[in-house]
Amino acid sequence: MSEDNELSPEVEAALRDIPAVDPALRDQHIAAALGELTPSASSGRLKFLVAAAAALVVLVAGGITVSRNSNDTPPALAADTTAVSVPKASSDPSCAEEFSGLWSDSGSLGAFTYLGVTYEMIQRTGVLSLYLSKEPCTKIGEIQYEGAMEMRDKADDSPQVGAECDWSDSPLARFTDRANGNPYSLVLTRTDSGVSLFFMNRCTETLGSIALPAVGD
Amino acid sequence: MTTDALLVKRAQRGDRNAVDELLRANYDIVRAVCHRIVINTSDAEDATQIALMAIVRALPSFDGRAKFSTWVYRIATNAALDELRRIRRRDIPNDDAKFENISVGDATNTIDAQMDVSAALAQVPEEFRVVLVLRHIADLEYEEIAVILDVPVGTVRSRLSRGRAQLTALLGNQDGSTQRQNNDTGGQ
Repeated sequence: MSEDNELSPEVEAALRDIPAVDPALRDQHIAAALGELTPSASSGRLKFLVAAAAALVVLVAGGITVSRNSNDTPPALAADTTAVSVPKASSDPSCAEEFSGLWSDSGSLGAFTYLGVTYEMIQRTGVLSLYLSKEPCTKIGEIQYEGAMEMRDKADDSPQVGAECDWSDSPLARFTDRANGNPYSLVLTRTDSGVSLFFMNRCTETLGSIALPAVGD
Repeated sequence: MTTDALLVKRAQRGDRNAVDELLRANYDIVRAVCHRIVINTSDAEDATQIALMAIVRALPSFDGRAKFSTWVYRIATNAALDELRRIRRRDIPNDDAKFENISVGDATNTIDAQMDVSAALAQVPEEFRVVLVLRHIADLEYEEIAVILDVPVGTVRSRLSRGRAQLTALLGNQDGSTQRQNNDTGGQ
């Protein structure tokens, strides 16, 4: 795009002329960034399986009851027993790596079944994704909500401020995520055509939705 | 599918080598954006680090609707702006950065010009500086800048125009090599 008041080539060149980076510093930066990945695929798989097994144990023991509007709910809380169908851990271990990837902060919230298809709910900081629970472990969609948490955080909108909401109608998962250290409790619920995510104490504001394919799609 | 797209796909599936390759391919431009927005060298290096980490964290969410490079610029810009906010909270005047850069800028003409541009850029208001960086360093179109900054294209156009004018005026008012440089180039 050409404009009539472009900078001179000399000034533009000077703007681009950043002091050369020390290769050691560059390698350090990249190594630290790679640290956002878990050390290896096997550990990612192990972490996922451990989380899945823990969720299963909890469910076998009779499920978890999360007190409504709890502000200290632990992260990645397993789905509760009022879900549409019985939540369970990944039904196909071959999907574990696909679900957890190599990112250190991802984990399963459990699974649910809709029209005979089982879906896995995978959560990592600021993002909730939905996958087919069996191979090919396809991602169905995702809801990014980190911005919504940060907006509340920047607006000094306390995580505790909100309306009383009744989530007794089959929430699929309840969990807590953090923005700048502040915990926000979230709820994933079924809708007529898919799933929707809400802050636990803001049931009128949808953070995002994922449509579930009808059978045969 | 292009080589870049394949690399991104591999990285999104958790291929560590692909993530490493992507970071190295985009390192210089991420660092350039951070340096020119943040100005202070050590803070800019911090912003670079934060941007790279953010890229890795966000990789699974990249949906391919934007060019990968545009997506990277958006993350780098946000990291740099966050760093500026942190600097303000620390209450360290940006003037430190200007003086730091100017004081060491007399070794060669090339360094002179670089440092003078840094010093001048530091005096351009942040909202104009960011647009200057995204246009003249990242080579983004106005529409792409508008998306990254979430402002209308017209705002990008006016900020760019005012930013260029201020930068040019500041360079024109400087002594030494930059003055010579401007004379040589017509003093835009």
